[in-house]
Amino acid sequence: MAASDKKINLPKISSDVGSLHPITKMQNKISKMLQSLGFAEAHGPEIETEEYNFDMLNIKSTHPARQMHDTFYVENRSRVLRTHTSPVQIRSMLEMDPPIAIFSSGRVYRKDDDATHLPMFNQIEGIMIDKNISFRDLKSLIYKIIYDLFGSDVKLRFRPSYFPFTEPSAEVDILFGESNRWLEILGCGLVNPIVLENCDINSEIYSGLAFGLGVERISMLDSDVPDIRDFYKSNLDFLKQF
Amino acid sequence: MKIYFPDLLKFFDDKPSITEVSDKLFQLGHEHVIDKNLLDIEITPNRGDCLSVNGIARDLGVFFKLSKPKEIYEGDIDKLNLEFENKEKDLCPSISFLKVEIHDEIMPYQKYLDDFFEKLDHSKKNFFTDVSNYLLYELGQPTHCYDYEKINGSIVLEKKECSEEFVSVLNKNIKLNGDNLVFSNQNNIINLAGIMGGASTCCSNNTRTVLIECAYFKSEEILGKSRKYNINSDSAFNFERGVDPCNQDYVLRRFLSIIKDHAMIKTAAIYQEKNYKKHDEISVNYKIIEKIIYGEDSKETLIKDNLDQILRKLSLKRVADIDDFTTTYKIPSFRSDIVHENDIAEEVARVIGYDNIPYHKITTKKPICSKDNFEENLKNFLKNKGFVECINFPFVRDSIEESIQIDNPLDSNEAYLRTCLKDSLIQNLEYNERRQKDSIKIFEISNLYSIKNQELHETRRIAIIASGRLAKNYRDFSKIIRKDFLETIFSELNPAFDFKVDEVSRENVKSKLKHPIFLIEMSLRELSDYISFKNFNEPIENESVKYSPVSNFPSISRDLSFLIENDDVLDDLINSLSSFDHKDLKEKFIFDFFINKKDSQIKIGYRFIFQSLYKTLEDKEIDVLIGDIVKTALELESVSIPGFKNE
Repeated sequence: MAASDKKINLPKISSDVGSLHPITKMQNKISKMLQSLGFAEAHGPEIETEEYNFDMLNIKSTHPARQMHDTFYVENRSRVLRTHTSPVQIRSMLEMDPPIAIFSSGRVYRKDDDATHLPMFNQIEGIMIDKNISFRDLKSLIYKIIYDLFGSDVKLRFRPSYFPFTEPSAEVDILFGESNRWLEILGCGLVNPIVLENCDINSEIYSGLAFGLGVERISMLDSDVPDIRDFYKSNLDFLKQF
Repeated sequence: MKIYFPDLLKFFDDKPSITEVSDKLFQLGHEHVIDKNLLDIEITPNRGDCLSVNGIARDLGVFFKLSKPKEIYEGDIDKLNLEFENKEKDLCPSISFLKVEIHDEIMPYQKYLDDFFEKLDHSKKNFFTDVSNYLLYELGQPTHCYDYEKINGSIVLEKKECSEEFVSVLNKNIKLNGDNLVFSNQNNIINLAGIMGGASTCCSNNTRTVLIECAYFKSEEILGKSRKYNINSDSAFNFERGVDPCNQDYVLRRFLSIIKDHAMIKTAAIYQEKNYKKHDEISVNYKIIEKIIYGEDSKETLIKDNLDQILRKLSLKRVADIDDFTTTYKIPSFRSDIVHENDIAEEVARVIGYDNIPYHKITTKKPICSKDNFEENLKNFLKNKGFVECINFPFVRDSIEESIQIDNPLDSNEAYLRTCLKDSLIQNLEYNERRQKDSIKIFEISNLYSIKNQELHETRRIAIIASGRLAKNYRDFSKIIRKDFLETIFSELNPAFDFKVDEVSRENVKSKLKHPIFLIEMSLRELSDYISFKNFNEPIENESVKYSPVSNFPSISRDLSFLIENDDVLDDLINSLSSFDHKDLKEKFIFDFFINKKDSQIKIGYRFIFQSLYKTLEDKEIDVLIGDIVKTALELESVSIPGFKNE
């Protein structure tokens, strides 16, 4: 039978496939996971005061991060581009009464630009303030987060570390893939009582836990992206893969 | 810091293996790598006390038996009558000077000193400076050696406004500016306190009378200075992180002991200023420590005696029991980081091992439902329309009156925060058009900042750009995106609203393509006034996407136009072409499809795009691949390629 006599099944008309940025996708994934654990999302400005970005978080004027080389200052040093999303936690603690369980997700800025560091990157940080929160609770939450992100087969370890706003502080490594290497995945700790007091929360009644992770780093591990700079070249061949 | 492992072993009676030491270093929070016998340890900024072999050994002392302290000079030392004026006792509350005169002969270096230079790849300078550098490694305390014969009259320590040029011991000219804490002699700066000494008074191989300065400077005074003057200074690094303010006597006696190992001492005399409170005290309630680590309802408990044992191994000295739960301890002078009970809890947790603290199945609170998912829905909507989300850095060259200026930009050509998204997206378009992309549909949603009447303004904006071919299918391939494409993009959400679409001039766009560029840019709030996403739920994609490397080499397109006389083979042809695969075949799609009813023929046009990850492909390589495709296609009955010739 010829083309003129019968109905021909036309080839499918394929639509162009768009894509969300891989950082957006990872943010969505982590945000939804944290919401499922009872954390509400909080927002804050990317241009911050030194008070909220440093002082209230117990990052003293003698801390190396406050030097001009690590922080972008704007408008005659009157403000900073936030160096982390932690000021959102400060704002939330000042606005809310405990118990508090919030997370903030967004862009942060550091004066850095090389193969492993960018002047702008994304963080997700969470904080929980309640009575009787212990290091054991912190570990339990971190295990839950890591297992949700990387599967319950993943091995993780906690290492003591240092952040001015948490005490005790820890960094968490996971044993990653075929390389069999421990890779740092997030930082966490019990909220430093000084920070609670700075936010008018009685540290003798309340304690808290906090954690923070770099979205680019998680995304790189999740998708095997070798170079962090690839996220911000806006190369369609790269972005359309996600 | 780098430590030669045998040097560390000398501090222990038991001789642990490097693996055992490595495990315990991790447990204590000292991240490191091992290269043969070298440990390269990253010390957190709060642990300046660990920036030495002695400091690391002391921290490991909770696990391994420490041997007796290193040999020091135990004899009496004369008092030095030094003309020294400390005008900055707040910034330098304790300082010592040791003057030592030796006989001419300096013996070959002992093995421990020689190893320091050989194994750690340090270069030797002169005897006294070499000992000073070694002691910084062994004890973490910086010392500075002046050639005593080059000092005339009194030495003054003061913070003063400087504008002169200073020549460092490394013969580097440094133009000083602003306030600096300096040592001066006869009004000449001879030492940038805590950072680096000067060439005018430094020791040489001929020095036989040395004045050794050993001080404690407040970290805030030193912080940032070595960066400011681009000086690489280990001393400044240690002072920035805090050194022991009460260790000078021990350090100088150790210095003297090392001199004695290598030379005959004629005279030694010491000058000391001590204005520092030696020890702080802390009350430790073990029930509170237990609560911080395990929580109130845990089966795990801390035993008071065990806690005491841990704290004493960490050099805290028991002062008195306050009650059944609380004991007061003296904090050692080198642990300025211990301030409150959470710090003690961290110390105890480190010794127990973070990984040995149990965890439990977490009881989650009531899940939170996101109330405001307009932005998420908007992004998903655009994705479904074929748009790709971009994210750009906010730093730009050009400014308007409301622009926010960055005081210390990374690049002086990008000293402002952008006030619109358009320019970023145009750059994204240029970037991709230069990479042979002829259909661009992209968007960005970001916060923008501006300042007006000294008030900061934040707006969350969206920009969408579309240009080039409408789509890569046979219906739309030959159509170019027009203004109405963007005007109607949200019509299914609000048919009544006309979106303002701008055509962007290509005058300043660096691209060979000439397709018109269309843009929508507006605030998200404004957009949400016009559209909403009732019942729109995009499924969450949780599966991981594994990245495939992106080529930086040009691609080559080849079009084949197949003629089919028998439409029964249409599906076979499409299946055959769709299943063709090769590492350099990046993309293929049908760009033309035509049924000629009169001649009972079907014409189908296929575009194949080739690109290698590793090189620019040559035509002859593509010819081979096209030959394979054609051969497979022509095996089907009644399929031909009019006019095709493949040599």
